[in-house]
Amino acid sequence: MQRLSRAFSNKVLTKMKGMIGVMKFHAGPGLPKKSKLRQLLLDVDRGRQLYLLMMLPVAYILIFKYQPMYGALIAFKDFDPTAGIWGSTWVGLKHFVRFIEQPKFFQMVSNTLMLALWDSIIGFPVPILLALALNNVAHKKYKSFVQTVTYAPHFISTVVIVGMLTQLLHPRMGALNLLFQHFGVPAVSYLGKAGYFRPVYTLSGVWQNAGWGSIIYLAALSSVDVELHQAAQIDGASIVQRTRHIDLPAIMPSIIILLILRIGSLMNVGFEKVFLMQNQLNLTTSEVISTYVYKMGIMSQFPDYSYATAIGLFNSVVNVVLLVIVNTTAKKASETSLW
Amino acid sequence: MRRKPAAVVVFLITLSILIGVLPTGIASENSSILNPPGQLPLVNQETELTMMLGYYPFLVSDIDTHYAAKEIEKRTGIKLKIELVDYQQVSERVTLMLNAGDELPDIITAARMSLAQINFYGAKGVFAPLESLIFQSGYWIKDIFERYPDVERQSYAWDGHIYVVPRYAENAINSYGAKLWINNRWLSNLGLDMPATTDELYSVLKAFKEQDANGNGDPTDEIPLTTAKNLWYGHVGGPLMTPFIYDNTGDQLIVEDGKIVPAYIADEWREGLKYINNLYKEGLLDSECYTQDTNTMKPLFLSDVQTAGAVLVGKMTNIVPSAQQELWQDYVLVPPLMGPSGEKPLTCFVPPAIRSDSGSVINAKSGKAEIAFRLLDYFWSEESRLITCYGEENVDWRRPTDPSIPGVDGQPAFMEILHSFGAPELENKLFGDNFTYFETEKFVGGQIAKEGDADQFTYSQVMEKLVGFEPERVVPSVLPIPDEYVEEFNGLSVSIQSYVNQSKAMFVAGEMDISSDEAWLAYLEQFDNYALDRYLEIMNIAYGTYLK
Amino acid sequence: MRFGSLSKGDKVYTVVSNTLLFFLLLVTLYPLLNVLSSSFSDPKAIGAGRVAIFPVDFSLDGYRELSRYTPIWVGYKNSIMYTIVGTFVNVTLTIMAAYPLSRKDFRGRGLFIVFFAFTMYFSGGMIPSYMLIRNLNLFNNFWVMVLPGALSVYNVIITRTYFQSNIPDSFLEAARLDGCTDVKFLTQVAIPLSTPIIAVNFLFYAVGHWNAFFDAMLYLSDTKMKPLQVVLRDILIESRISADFNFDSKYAEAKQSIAEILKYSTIVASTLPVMLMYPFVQKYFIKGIMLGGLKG
Repeated sequence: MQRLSRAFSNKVLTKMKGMIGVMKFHAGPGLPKKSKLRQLLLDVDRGRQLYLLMMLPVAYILIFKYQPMYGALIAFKDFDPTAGIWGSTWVGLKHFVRFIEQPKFFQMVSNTLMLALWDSIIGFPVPILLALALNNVAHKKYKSFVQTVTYAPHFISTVVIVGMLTQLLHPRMGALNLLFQHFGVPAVSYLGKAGYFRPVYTLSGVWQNAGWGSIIYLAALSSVDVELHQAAQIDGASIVQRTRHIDLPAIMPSIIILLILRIGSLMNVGFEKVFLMQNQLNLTTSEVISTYVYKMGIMSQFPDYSYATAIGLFNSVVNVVLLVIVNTTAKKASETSLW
Repeated sequence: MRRKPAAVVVFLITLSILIGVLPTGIASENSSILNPPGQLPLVNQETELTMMLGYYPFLVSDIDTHYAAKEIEKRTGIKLKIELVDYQQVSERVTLMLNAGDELPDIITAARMSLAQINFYGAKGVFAPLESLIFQSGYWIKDIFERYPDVERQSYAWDGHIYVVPRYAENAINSYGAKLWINNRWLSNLGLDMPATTDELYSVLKAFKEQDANGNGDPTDEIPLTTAKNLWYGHVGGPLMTPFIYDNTGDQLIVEDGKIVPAYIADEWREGLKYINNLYKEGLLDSECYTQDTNTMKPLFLSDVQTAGAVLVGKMTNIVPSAQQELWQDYVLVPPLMGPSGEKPLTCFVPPAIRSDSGSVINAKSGKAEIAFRLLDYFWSEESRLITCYGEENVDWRRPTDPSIPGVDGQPAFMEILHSFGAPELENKLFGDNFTYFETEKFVGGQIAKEGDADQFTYSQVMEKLVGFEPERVVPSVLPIPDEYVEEFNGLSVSIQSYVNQSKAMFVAGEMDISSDEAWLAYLEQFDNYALDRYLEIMNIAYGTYLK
Repeated sequence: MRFGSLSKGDKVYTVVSNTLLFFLLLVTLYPLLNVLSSSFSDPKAIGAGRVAIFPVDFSLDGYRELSRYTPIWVGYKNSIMYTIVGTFVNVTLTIMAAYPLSRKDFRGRGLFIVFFAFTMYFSGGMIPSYMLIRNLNLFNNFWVMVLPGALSVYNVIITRTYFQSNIPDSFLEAARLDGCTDVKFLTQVAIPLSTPIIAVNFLFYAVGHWNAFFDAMLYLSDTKMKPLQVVLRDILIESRISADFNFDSKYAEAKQSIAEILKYSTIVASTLPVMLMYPFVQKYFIKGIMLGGLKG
């Protein structure tokens, strides 16, 4: 029996090899019908080293990212650890409905999105401009110094940054108001008015992250051919013109991709900074989804994993929708897109 | 022939003994190595227990040489195999382990695992029910349960079992939590008396603002009343609201005619808000009381010249280091104020209760439940508390050498601390507060009265000025909400309390006009959206059960 | 180019740009100096709000307390190990994923990208991850700090973008004519040309490892394996957002005062190594060596 099947499989294999050989031989333009499949197999064969390279990363993703994804099911169940994920009762969309029926649902979602939009609109261009400006700085040591200093606040913990911010913005004792008063601007309680929350959050975010965000653009800029700049200079182009026509296009792919990714994570407004900056007077703009989830956790003293997972899933779905929209737009408007 | 019936009788007797013994076979095996309750060591044979211990990382650097751990093992005779988990992570860890089907240790202790969680798992059979063990085999716990029926009552879960060995602390500074402190020196500088009514407080604060109360020549630098948003009992309200209607500074509910009702929809609440809003408007209440954090507020107290006249806080040492006596010694408590209604003043009071956010449990699947229980029972003893929280006798603390020296509470002193917390000599010796099971007044009040000790000062202030002004009935802090309502209740709680606190702040800061009837009505109407009635309904069901 | 020889427009630009940069520099220098100075100041002065840019009542208490706490040194050692090994694994895997994705002739490219990107949006959460780690027996294992985070899709994407924009197709064609295989091209042409993005990857991943604490808190109970951030969090209660301070006794206050003294010195201790990483990395932001023969 075994001998028979071995013979059989050998025959099949030889035949297949023959077929592939024939296809290889016949590879070229102008072939009818079978060209698509042939082309596919050809490409796969030609790119076999690339597939080999991909194997390890793909394996990692499968094991560490896809396998645990069944945990998202918790959102559709009443999770009971004693029964495990599979044993917990199925409740369908109950948690989603619960979330949407919250009295403050719209306010929370809109606060989250608005905060993220502010952060993006103001926070996104600054690192780009910073990178472009730094790139043009002639003095190398100064350039390096500025880079190192501006990227450092990123590493100071949020607790400390918000602490500093609170002190800075204090109407009576804070440096900012004292400075403004010097110029005749009256003192304002920036943290005590809901209307100021988004600007303060955004600008302090720029303060903290502009330097760090500019790194990727600086790396992209460093690959710009110096000869191009020299040629343009000989032609009489000003710094601004050179930046616009040489530097900017060079980093445009990075800009677009990063913008797509940014919009695709709009709902992920972090919890820590918002929570620390929140107070009773600015909740109308500062209550976001992540702080709500935190408060639910504290109140119940017993983490509701199902509810939190459902909300997280809700966020993800919105993010993906945004992502698809932006990516499609990018595809149509430029050469760069995520897929 | 006569032997046969005898043999049968013997057989029957043996059989019945065996039957009587078999079901409790494991228990009796445990019982046989246990010494009578209350006796140390707890066991007469070597035995081992596995324990998950929620610990403070900076107190324990090496569990194998840890003083308290070794001492407990020595005294109880039980060997402990301890797994250390950060005390805030235990709840998560237990959930993950249960989900993974991992075996739990015999005991889980000193952790932040809420009563809600413990009772939930207990009802599912994860943790062992303890009531029979407590009453049959307990010693120290049993004694406390008898002397403090409230503790017993609060320990029961909704299904009638006790799954938790609770944590209970009796401490006046905590119970009389929300306090108003005033700078005594400023009062005497301006020749003012301690205010006794809300109107008098207003006048005093006004004087603070307009005159040079701190004596530095500048009449404009004084901030009459302040607080911060993350300060312990820095709640805007409390002693300021209580003269109008009782404010428990938590969920702001009161008991009226045997039922739980909200304080925040009453007219008196509105009156109180008007009063506070007035203070805010006139600059007597720090406009940044809602926005500043403790660190931002500290300069008012820590500068060479103090500029804060009065402050809402639980303890002055939450703001000022206790080592710098000159910074806190001028601030004294304001006795409960009388409101315009003329009713007896009340102080904010939270009756001592078991902690709802932590406790210890025994694994239901443990074969050594009774031994484990005895160990937890031992942790309720005074001796255990001293070892785990204060250290070694005669090295880190000692009994008073002179029995006539009074403690802070006036009674003969109970102990004297030689190395205070944080001293390098205490490294790797203690488990800390988290390990407290039972703490009575004695531990604070019974320490030798020392000049310049901030805790003792606070304690004596509370004893002198606040005790006796408690309201008759308060909403219990631990209410057994029935399982099927818990999820709904939590959701309602979060949104209602958020709304109440937010509205309160808006009214006080003037963002919403408290004097406008329209605004007040609009505020009240919103409660329908938040299902306030349903929230109260659930609470009162639980309250009804509690009272029985 | 000397300033004097610039055109008028350029002069204006340079002045404006440098001024703005200087302003940004001052504004971002302030928090750094504040933290650094606070770490060398007397806590009493900090509390009184007297420390702005320079130390007040110079004191080494913060650092003394810190060095007294021996687990810190173990934490440093561990973090360095995790960072070195982890980053190496990260960068290797990232390049292995990004390069094929950057090739237009890579069949199935779109599918792969979606395959990768999907995981940025949907994840199973902590519970199944815990099960996975448990089943792989990674508790208290060095590799638990390396494997779960072995690849960041975000990094793959930015690396792919760089490859796409900076490795001209002409290079590939020319190399092909010479009989160069893909792997050979990758290692001998693409990588040397991409030192900037590789440097960026090193930086991003290294910082990620240095700051990691969450996985460690969950999966490493052995105190000897703790990374620096966990050790620092252990000391600094303030860094935890919790309202659970209010223990009834001296403990809360003693804890707070210890935390006060240590707060700034711990930030400096944990941040300084990372800050110094950048100038080091920045050296690689030069265009890779042009392989002259392949040009044009």
